[in-house]
Parts: sequence; structure tokens; C-alpha cells
Amino acid sequence: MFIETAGPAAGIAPAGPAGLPATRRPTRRALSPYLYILPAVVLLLVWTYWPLGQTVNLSFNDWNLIPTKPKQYVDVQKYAKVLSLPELHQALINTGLYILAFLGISVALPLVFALLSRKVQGKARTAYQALIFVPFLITPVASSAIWRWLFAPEGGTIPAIAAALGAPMGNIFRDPGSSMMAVIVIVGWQMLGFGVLVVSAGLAGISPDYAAAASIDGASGRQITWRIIIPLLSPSLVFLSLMTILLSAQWTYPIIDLVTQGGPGNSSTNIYYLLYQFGFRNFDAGLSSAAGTLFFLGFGLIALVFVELSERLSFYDN
Amino acid sequence: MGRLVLNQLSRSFKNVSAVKNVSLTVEDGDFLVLLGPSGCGKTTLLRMIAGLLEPTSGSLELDGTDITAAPSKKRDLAMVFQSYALYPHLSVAKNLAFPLHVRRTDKQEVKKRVEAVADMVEIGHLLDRKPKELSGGQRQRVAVARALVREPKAFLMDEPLSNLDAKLRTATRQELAGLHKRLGATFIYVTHDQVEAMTMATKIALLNGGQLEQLGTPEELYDKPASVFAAGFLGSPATNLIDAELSTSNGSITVMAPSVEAVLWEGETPRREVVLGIRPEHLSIHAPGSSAAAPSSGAALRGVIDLAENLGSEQVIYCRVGGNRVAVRAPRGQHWEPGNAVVLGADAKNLHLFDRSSGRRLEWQADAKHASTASSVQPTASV
Repeated sequence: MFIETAGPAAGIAPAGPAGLPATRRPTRRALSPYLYILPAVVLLLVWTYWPLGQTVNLSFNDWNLIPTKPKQYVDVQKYAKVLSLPELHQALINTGLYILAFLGISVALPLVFALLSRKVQGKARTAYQALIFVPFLITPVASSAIWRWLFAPEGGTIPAIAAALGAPMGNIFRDPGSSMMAVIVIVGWQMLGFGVLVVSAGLAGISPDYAAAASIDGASGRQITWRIIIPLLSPSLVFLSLMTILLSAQWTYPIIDLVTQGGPGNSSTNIYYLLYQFGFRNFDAGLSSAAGTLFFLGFGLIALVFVELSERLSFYDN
Repeated sequence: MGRLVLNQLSRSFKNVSAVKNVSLTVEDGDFLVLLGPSGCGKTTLLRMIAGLLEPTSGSLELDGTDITAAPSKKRDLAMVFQSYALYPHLSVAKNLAFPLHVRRTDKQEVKKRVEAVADMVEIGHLLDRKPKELSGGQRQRVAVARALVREPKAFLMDEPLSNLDAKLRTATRQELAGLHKRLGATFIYVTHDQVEAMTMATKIALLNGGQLEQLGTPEELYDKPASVFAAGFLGSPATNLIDAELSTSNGSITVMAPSVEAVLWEGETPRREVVLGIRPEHLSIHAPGSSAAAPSSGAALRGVIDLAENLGSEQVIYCRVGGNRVAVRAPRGQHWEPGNAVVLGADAKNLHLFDRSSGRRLEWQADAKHASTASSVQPTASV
């Protein structure tokens, strides 16, 4: 006769540590994660969401920023007005042009530079990348001052060289045809290093095994770059594009203020500079807030699209 | 075809020499395992064969053509990486098709070959998945399939089983060996795992410190280790290695060490410092005074039991013999207590002798009676 053997006896797992009453511990444990994130939540509420709410609220009011003057509710009038302003249309077009230019300077160009810098070996590569990155560390005020000297019509190095080459240039900051280009050059010079840094970090994160495997599989250097490296770099490139689209208006703002003040005739302004002018030059808080709210929604949508895109493009290299 | 000749291949990294003057020939259809501990240069050697590393000196020939300076894409080799290196942005089908696409193979042909190779390694149902959606074992299969899809001259494999769990590793090992038999292609396989080397290889190249220590069939390496290193590396538990002295006594060759006494055969030899090697399975264990404990020829080791390990199928008894710890394999059912005195015996034919200073194996040549009686064996230079 066979007798089935029993499994190990149940209920021999060691009991939990004695000490605190069982009823108090779970409450404290459930609360602790919220306590950890509380400081961050408070800061976000005070510095981001509270002002955002105030902006939306202001956009439905007429107010000239004088504390003693009461706000007057005007429904959506400010939205209607801001959408019909030709300055806004000009600023939107300019912002689009700035974004296109910076997609070239801080995404495409860094990709080329970072891929090329792989050919440089050892310490020379670090020195090369450091040289490109340094402008990013210079404050916009200082770099604006340097570039203004460089482009100064009287005694500036660049106009002097241009004149020597037989192509005299005037004051590029005062010419509607070139003022925007001047801002793009200055901001681009600063942002290029940031782009190279992000792309280089992305490249460093790609295992060299992929290129080695592709090379043994028979791929040429060009095929490896286009079919393996660039697709694997796409999460970095999407991130950089998103940063460029969302932040290029902010990056250009201080330079516009310092070298062209949006002029001549709004030729180099952008939406952030326009917001500033509505609010703090024309003292129309409602108009400025209405424009701000619209841009917030627009950029929010773009950000959502990119977040979705980067989710799809993340391959989790393992 | 896939006959590979390595001629005095060396590679240094700055001042560190990773591979030193390795010469060997891999015949078409061989399954050569490059075996050795971490840092012995086996992966460096494989990467030089693959064209991923340039040799500092020496040359490489594939089917009679010098490929030392040829880029890896021109070498017509396929490689399975330790990390598998599956392109993470491509589906399994596109990973498999990649080597064909970059060679501009006809689309119909690509489809046919991808499906055929997927069927061969049983991953047909995974073709639409991305690598991140696969388990470790499935990734390994895809990596092998990507190597197979192109029918290269030789397959290079860099520890392809090291990321799999023990059970899957055994199963995949057998499949790879089966695949090699079916294809009849040349395989060069890097591992530090002696079981993989013993079970799959037709030839093993044992590397130590960047140099070729021994080259031969798995049987040759196991039965006739060419050096102290080879004897100690292959086998688990490792070969017992005891410093001893070779001399002649009463017309017979003897090997003496503290608590060790071995009488080999009739002959004469000058005194010589040697290392005596005995595999744990070649030792028998007896109680002192039993009739089996005093053989007329062979080795007798007197010791005290230190530890008995039960491995399930057998037990390993560790004994203190002189200043050495000696392992003995013994069947289950015998009862050996730590602290008991024992006598260990081994046949003369199962004793390995190595020169103490060079570490090389000593072979007895019966006909050279009056000349030097033991000669050192050099590593053979071709498979």
C-alpha cells in the first residue's frame, strides 16, 4: 500500500517583529510617501499652479496693474482682442521661425557635431566637446554685450572684416531684414553646446555592441549610422526637439530684450517678449494674461504629442 | 568552407599584453572553444578574428586569404554577442533580415530565408515582436538565428549562454552542439565554462595570460593536461596538485612528498622537483590497514578527513594530506566522518607529473633508458 507523503507543515512562517501595536504601523506607513513628496507639491503649487490660476483669472479681467484700481470682469473680450492684434500674428510667425532655426542649430547641427566628434579619440574629444559647451555657461547678458561689441558698426570686429572683404554691413540690430538673424546667431551660439552635450550623452548610452554587430553583419559605416545609431538616438533627439520647441521662446527673450527690444518694428520680437510688452509696457494685464493662457494651451498640446512620441521611441537598450 | 589560420597573433592595450603570439589552425567544420579564466585574452582573440580589434602583430588567414587588415564587414563571418546585440528598434523579423538587407539581397529571398531560419530555431511565432518583449532564452535564439541567416564562412560566439539560467543553458548547449553537427560549419566559441567546452567542442584552445596553454580535443585536455594550469582548470573539483620529488629507488621511479608515496614503474631518473596531479575520481578511499590500502604500484596518500560534501549523486571527501587538501570523489552510501584517518590510493597510469619550474607535463619514454628519462611536452601548434 502506498501512503502519500504530506507537504511541509503550514503556519511555520516566522511571526512579524514584536513591538509596536499592529494597528498603528499601517497608518504611518500609508502616510509616509505623501509626506516625502509634500515639499515638492507645496513648491509646485506656490510657484507654478497658483500663478497659473491667477493668470487665467486675470485674462477675464481688465486691469492696469495698479493695486488700488479694482479689476473689472470683461468675459472673453481680451481673448477676442489679442487674437485680432497684428502684433500677435507677427510674434507668432517670428516664434515659428525662431523654432525652425533652433531646430537646425540645437538639434540637427549637434547631431552632426556629436557624430563627427566620435572620430576624435581620447582627451582631444573631451577638449573639443568642452569648447563647444562653454558658451552655454555664459550668462545671456554677458554674451549679448560681447556680440554687440563684435557687431558694433563703429569699430566692431565683424563689420571691419566684412568691410575689408568688400561687403560693408550696417548696424544689423537696427535693420529689419537682419535683426532676427542676429538674435538667432547669438542664441544659437549659446545653445549649440547644450545640444551637443545631450546628443553626446545619448551616443555614450548606446552599447558599442550594436555597431560591432552591424559591422559583422556586413553594414558599412554610413549604414550603421543611418540604420542603427540614429534610430537608437531618437529618444535623445525627441527630447532635444521638445526642449527646443518649448524653450526657444524663453531662450531668445533675454537676447531680444538686450540687443533689439523686439525691433525694429516688431521684426525680431517673439511671443514672450510681446507678453512682456503687453503687461509691463502697456500695463494691460488682461491682454497679456489672455495671450499667456493661449500659449500655455498651445505648448501644452505640443508637449503631449512629444511625450507620446518619446514613449513610442524609447527602446530600453538592454 | 571556413578554414582559419592564426599566425603569431598578438594584441596589446597600452603596455598590457592581452594576447601573446597565438598560432593555431581551425579546420573547416571544427567547433573550436577558446577556453580560459576571465582576462586570459579569449574575447580579445575572438574580436581580432571578427575584425573588431586590430592585432598589434601577427596575421590571420581565412580559406587561404589574408584577412588581417580586412574590415569586419568584408570577412564573411557571423557573430553572436554575449549581450546578443539585437537591434532594439527593429522587430525580430527585421533583426534577422538586417544582414541580408545591407547586402541588398532580393526581398523575396530575404523573406524566404528569414522564415526558414526562424523555423530552424523555433522562433517563427516571435517574428513581429521587439527584442524588449522577448525572454532571455528567446533573445538568445534570435541572436543565433541572425548569425545563421547569412550562411557565413564561420560562426563566432562570445559566451552566448552566460546570461541564461542553468536549466536553459544545458538545453541550449545541446541544441548548439546539434546545430553544429547539422550545419557542419566552423564554430569558434568563447567561454570560461569548462562544461560547455567539454560537451560542445571538437577542439579546445586553453588560454592563460594571453598565451595558448594547450590545444587539443576535450579528451586530450582532460586526460593529458599539458601543464599544471590545464590540469587545475579542467575538472570539478579541480585536479589535486601536490609538490613532490621524483627519484629512483630500488630500480623503480618513485614520487615522494610528505604523507605521499608513489611507485611508478621500473626505470631510472635523476632527482627532479615535480608537481604530482591526481584527479579526484582517480583516487580511492580506504580505512588504514585494509587490504586495498597497500597497493604494490601507484600512489598511496595518508591523510585525515576534513570535510565530506554530499552532492546528491555522489560525495566529495576533502582530506588533509601533508600540507595539502586533497579531494576524492566517492559513491554515496559510504560513511566517512571528519577527523578519521584514511589512506587514498591511485593507479600509476592515472598520475600526472609536471615540472615544478616550467609547469609543463612530463611524459615517460620507455625506450630512452640511459638518456634523460622524462621529457617536457610542448603545446602543439596546430589542431
